[in-house]
Amino acid sequence: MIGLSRRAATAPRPGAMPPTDFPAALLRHPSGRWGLALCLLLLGAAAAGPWLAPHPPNLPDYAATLRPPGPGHWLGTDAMGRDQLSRLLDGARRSLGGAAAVTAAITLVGLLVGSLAALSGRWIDAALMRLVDVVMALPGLIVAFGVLGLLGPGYLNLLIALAAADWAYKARIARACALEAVRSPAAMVAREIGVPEWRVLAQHVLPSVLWPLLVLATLGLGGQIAAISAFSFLGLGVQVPHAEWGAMLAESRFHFQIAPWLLLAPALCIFVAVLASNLLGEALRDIATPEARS
Amino acid sequence: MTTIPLSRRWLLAAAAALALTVPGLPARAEGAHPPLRIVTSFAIDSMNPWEDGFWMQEFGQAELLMQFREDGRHHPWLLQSLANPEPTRWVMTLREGITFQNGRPVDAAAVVAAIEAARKHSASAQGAVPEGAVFTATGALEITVTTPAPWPELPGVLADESVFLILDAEAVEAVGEDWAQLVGAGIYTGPYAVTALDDRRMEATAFPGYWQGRPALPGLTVSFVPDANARILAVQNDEADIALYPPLAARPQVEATPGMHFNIGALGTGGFTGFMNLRQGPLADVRLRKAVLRAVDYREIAEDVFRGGLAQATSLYAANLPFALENYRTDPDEAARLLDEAGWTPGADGIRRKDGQRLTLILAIYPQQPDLVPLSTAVQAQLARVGIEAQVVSFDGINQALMEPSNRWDIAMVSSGAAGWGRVQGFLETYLLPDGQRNYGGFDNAEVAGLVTELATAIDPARRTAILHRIQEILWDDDPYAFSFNIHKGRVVVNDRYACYAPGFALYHVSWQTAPCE
Repeated sequence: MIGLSRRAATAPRPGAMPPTDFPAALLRHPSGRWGLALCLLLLGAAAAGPWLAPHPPNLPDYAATLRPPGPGHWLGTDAMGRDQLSRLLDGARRSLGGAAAVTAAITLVGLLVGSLAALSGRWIDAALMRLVDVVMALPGLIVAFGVLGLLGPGYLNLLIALAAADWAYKARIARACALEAVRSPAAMVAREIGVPEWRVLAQHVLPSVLWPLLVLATLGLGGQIAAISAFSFLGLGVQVPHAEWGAMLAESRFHFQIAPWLLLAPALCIFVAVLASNLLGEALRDIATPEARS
Repeated sequence: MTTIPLSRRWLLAAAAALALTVPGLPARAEGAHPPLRIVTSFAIDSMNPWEDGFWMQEFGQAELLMQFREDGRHHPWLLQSLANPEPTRWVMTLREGITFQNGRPVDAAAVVAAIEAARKHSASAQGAVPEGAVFTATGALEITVTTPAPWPELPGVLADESVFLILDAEAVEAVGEDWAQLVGAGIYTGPYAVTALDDRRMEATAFPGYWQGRPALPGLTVSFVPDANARILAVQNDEADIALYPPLAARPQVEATPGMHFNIGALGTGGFTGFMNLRQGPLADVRLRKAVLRAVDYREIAEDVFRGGLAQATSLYAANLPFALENYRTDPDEAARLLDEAGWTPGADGIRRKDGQRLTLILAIYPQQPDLVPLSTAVQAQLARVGIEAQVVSFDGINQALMEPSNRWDIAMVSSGAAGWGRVQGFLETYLLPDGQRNYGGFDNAEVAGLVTELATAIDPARRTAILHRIQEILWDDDPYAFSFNIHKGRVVVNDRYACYAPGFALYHVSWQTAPCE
């Protein structure tokens, strides 16, 4: 996980399953309520951004540079006279959408590799797990920088780099969950009575793998948002003139003393987004493994 | 609290009083200015004069035979005069009484030795001198240069910091490649001699025997700080007097901060140059290239985007150069007409299309130049006004990236000097000739190639100007390829003590007269 430690302790135990009243349990959980509300708010803003934005996000207006927040520009303007609110809304789609895409990609790759390792023969399992060991032995940051060095800077390349750096841990969890599910009495009985293999996988193995991975993915979402922002801050992610919260932070650094709104608004957005995904992830983890709360 | 015994206090006081009365101590002890503190983005890696020596010219350690000045002409520096009695013969006469910092005299023999050492060890010198050129000491202070063909660029070559630094070649040869031994060896002639160099800073102290007079400062420190914001903060926190290479984006904040000044200097000789890709993409069509040139608003770039921190481009060359034309004009209507003529018609979203294809150009920039971000953003908006969509791609290592055929780009935005130190030949040969090392876009114009070849040996100033005028016309009217978005101006951030400091022209940051404002 880029920028964060691999939090094995937060992973739900293999085979954990969602409770039958999952939506109600999520809303009962204080962190779940807040996390869900904040996530829905941010996702709504990102989705409706093009309609909510009062100005074109990339259009310079050199007669209105570094305007403080006020009527016409509710969050002020940047050094090129671009509307800060419009750029925040536009940037939300890249910051949040990118993090969601990376999380989905590493979850899918982890699921495929982990399940394949668990369900295949000894040699394939050993080979895949040694590959996982190698990737996990490398710091995620180094892997991401390496991939970016090969592909060059850019938003899509950044997403690929982050996914390449972070799939291995998910694969190991998926393998453990799949192994436990395959060896569970229910799966063994199903096989004994002649249930086709694909149905055994679909009914007994996949749900046992998906739920822990979903919890992990939610917990990791905040880290991905922070990572995309950090790499874009360094100029390795989103390229000009497009908005992204980390890139907006980088653009604000020469003006933070006379135009602090340029720094505060994207920083606050990153903070709230990471907080929201962490609250939601913590709630999901608690629901998945109630014993962990005690 | 520890107290100093009375006897020690008396000793310290006596020592201080003695120090103030001893002649020849640094100027600070005499109550003059403290040493100058500069922060710059580039590190001086070593004392190797053939690879890192050019820095020494910029900070007052080394000097050249000629100097390129703001009037766009070359003036004698260590030379008394430079004459061209015949097309293939130059005569250089040195000033009298100049010595290296180590005390050895700078005479014709020493200068010829420095030139020959550079020709032997420096790739820049090898590339700058035509084959068959001979430098001969023909008097105690006279050097004669003979060449098989006329060499009109010699004054510019002598003013170029990367070619012939005047140094004590004997002292340099003596250390082999143990360059650290050159610290304190006084191999140059400038007002400040290097006394320390590591990976963080260079220190230099005044050379009392400097030929123009006693240097105004006791010494200077040049610290290497790659981050632009950190350099500006160093001035703000009184850890530095002058910060070099501040991005123009920092200007509003600096100007709003008490005790700090963002000083803009004179017109430079280069700027952000655009190179169009003729090998791939829509710019193979000359009408599109002409349209791009006319769609760019050069005034807006200089005055609105950079608020006067850059100068408006009026031709490929800076207006202070004697051969510069004034042939650039922004004309969106003409640009639109050219695009119509080329078959690109506006779509519903304003972007032009032809055979279902959107007119999209890729602007290539690089992260080492932060000012390219506002520039490329402005150019995007300007091109959009005539129906051209532009996307920006940043390449790390721009020169290699642009020469790599698999990289897609249409207009490269590169900071370059079309006439660095008044020399035009190098830029034309490198960027515009078909076999030029940096002919990024595959430009191949037979007339330009012929003119550039002729220019290399054209000694008549009128003919040289005519050739350069014609090249500028071709690049605007006939076969656009390389063009200037702007012309750079020097810029620095300074504190109150150096509020009157003018950014050095042609990278002469420190002279013997550089001092705080009185």
